[in-house]
Amino acid sequence: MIERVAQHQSRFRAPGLSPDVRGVALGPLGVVLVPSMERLVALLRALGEDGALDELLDALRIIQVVSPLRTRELLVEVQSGTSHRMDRLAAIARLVGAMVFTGSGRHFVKYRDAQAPFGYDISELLPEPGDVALYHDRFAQPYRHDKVIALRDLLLRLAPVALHRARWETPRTLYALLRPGLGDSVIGYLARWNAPARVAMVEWQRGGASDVVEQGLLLQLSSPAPRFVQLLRSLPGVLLFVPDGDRCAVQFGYRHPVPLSACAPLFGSDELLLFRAEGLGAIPLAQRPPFVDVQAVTSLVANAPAIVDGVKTFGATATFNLPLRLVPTGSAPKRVAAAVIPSTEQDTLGRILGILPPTTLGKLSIAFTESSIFVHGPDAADAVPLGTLYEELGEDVYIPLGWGLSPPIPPDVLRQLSRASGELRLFVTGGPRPITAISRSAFVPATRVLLSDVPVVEEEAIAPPLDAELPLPDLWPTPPGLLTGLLSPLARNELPAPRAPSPTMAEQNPSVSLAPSAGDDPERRG
Amino acid sequence: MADPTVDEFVSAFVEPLVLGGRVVVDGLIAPTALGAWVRSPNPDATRLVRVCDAARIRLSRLGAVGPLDTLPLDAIALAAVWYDLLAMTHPEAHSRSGLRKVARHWCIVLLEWVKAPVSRFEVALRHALLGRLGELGRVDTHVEFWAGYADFVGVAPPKALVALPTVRRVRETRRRVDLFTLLSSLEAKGAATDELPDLTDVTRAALAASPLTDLILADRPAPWTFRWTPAAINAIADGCIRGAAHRAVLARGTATVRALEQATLAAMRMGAPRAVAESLLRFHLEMLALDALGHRGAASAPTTSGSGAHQGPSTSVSQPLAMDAYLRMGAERAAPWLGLPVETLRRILPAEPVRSAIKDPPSAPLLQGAGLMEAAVS
Repeated sequence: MIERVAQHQSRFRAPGLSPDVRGVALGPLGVVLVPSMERLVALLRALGEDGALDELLDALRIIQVVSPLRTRELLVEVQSGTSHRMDRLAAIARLVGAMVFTGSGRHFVKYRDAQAPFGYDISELLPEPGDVALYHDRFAQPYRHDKVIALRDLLLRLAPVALHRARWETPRTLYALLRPGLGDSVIGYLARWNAPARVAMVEWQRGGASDVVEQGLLLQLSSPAPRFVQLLRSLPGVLLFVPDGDRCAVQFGYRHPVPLSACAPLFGSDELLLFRAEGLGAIPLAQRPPFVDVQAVTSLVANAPAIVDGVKTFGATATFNLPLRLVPTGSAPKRVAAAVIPSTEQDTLGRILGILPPTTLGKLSIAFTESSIFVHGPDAADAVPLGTLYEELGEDVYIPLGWGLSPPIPPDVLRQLSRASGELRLFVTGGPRPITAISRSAFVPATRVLLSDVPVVEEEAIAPPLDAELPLPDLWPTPPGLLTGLLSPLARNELPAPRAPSPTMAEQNPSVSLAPSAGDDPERRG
Repeated sequence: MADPTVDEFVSAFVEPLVLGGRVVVDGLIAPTALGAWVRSPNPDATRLVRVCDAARIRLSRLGAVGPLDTLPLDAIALAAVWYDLLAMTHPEAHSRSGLRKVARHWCIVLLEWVKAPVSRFEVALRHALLGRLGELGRVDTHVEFWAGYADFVGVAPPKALVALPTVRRVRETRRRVDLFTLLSSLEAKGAATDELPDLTDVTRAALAASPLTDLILADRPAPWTFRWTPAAINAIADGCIRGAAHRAVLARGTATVRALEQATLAAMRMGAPRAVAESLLRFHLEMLALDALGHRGAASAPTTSGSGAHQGPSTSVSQPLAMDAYLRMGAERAAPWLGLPVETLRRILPAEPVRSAIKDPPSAPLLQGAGLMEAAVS
């Protein structure tokens, strides 16, 4: 029935068949014979995933055909274009169990495969081809057209498929279709949380035999927080839709069997289709609804309760008069920040401070009272092994290490109740007068109080230093002139002439005087 | 080195001279560089601190030193004179009379600008920078290898030349040439002496410009034999400088002390004024007392004879001129010169002076110049 095409073969029996630039026998049309609707959907999905669907859509036709044995099959007819496009279509079709043919008019012959790289030609035409005759190496069969299935209708009839929960993603834009009764609550909620949401009223026909027009509020949320998604998803009467392409949205948690983003040419530019799951069908909105911000349509006062008049508030004038006590606490102790030492231990404290390392000593400050010595040092007070160690509760309030307040009042409240200014450090010492306040200014660095007085004897150096700026005695004046004085003054018989002291020397030491120079005592020289 | 900045010069010459290290001498420094130095006299602060610290440590061995945080420009300019003089010691510069003339002129201009020191600070700081001048030396390398030989003056031979010493039969001979041997090339010697400018006097002037360094290097060979100059005389008239000079000279040893004594006698013979003679006498007497005191401290006890009488003052360095002057003066007359009580001086220098029978004692010119000895009228 068919025979392989030889290389450089240019004449074919099949009508419309001709070699393309690669020598492959190719007709103007290509058809894919799909045995069932499921395989057709699988083919469309595979083409959509591959990205080949949108370039086939312009001339794609789906025809239901009937064989002589009354079986119904589906033919997908496309423009063959080039053998490259047909190669890709054939590879995907074989994946879903379909057969690929090429030709024109009524006669279509099997497209090339590995056995016939240049394709096939018909050896003998069927005498009664019907509407379409397909020639395969295993059969040659005429078909009759039953009906043409519009791809758009097919897509609208297909029900979305549930996605695994792990593949759920929070989209950048989310649509929510609300029953009208939920509108105020949900919109008010979103408005109160200042969520970036817009809302529109939509109407659509229920379809089928019913003429009922349904209404709903369509929310459009931009970058919704996950908690909004979770909340809206859990509300009965709210359906969430995730955009798939510019013109379609599929219910959240589902996907359409065919990638809708590849089918954009099938829908109008202003159209919006909402694909509901669980057999509810799609909602085609002929016009994209006019969305407005939820803040604009929220009535903040309309449903609010009436303002209650005549309520009086009272200050917390009464107290329970509980005593402030120190109680042992089991919580982990904090860092030691202070120590309170009885005055009787003053000498011991002084000796201890005297042997502390300088860095530790530098961090300590001390305040003396009549009965106690307060040592403060957040990083160093634990170095003093005397008295009671204190930790800081906060706000410059200190309590003994390992003790807590009863009642457990926060430090700021305690400071307010004690009416202590911020300049005071509060030590909770317990007893009938539980708080001792010491002014910050009373604390002086520990290094200042170690010594009472240091006797100082001022002494002067015996001799000024070698590099002091003192003029030399001008015992033997250097004569003026080019190096005269420096070279060999004693080579001359007469003594060098005296020179005037330099201005700087005269300024520094006006009392400097020149020693007698030339010929001061001729007799002595004999 | 064409007109370097202060920092470049201190980095190349002064810093290694003070701290030790490799001194780089490359070309001459013209006096025109002084203009830029006066405008921006401070080197890099880190280098300045490093040099000042080393200088202060050096000076503190000689006496008390105050805080030292600057390098005076006169000391740096004097170092530039030495830089030029060292540059002229290169063997190729020896016969170039034009270059020597230029170098001589430049050195004289620089020395005129530097002038003699007028304060204790200038004397001390110039010595702080130039105190290690005597340690300067040049390492010359003579390399013999299988194909010939090569001489390298002051620089190391290239590594390629001394590589594979066994195979290439390389033999290196290093010779260190000390400062005064280097400076000997500055003397105009040879056939064309008349046309060759002599740099000896410039070298002497450069030495004299730092009196403390001049004193300490007194044991140098001819033609740089030490002579007292006005700068040195004025410097030792200062008590602190004199004390520093005593310590440094005594540490150098007998040769330096003898050179100073010879210079003193030469000055006296030339007819130095009385004030100078007194200053020199005080200088030598103090050095004698200091040496005796130091030696006394180093020794366990003064040596005594069986009768208990002292045999004579014990010193580490022979100072015949000073000792003769002291013996002739006696402790009573010498004590006021030293500012010491007589008893103390006797304990330091215990020998009783005995008049020498010789007619012409070594200290006679000095004592005559100081007015302490009557001159014999012939």
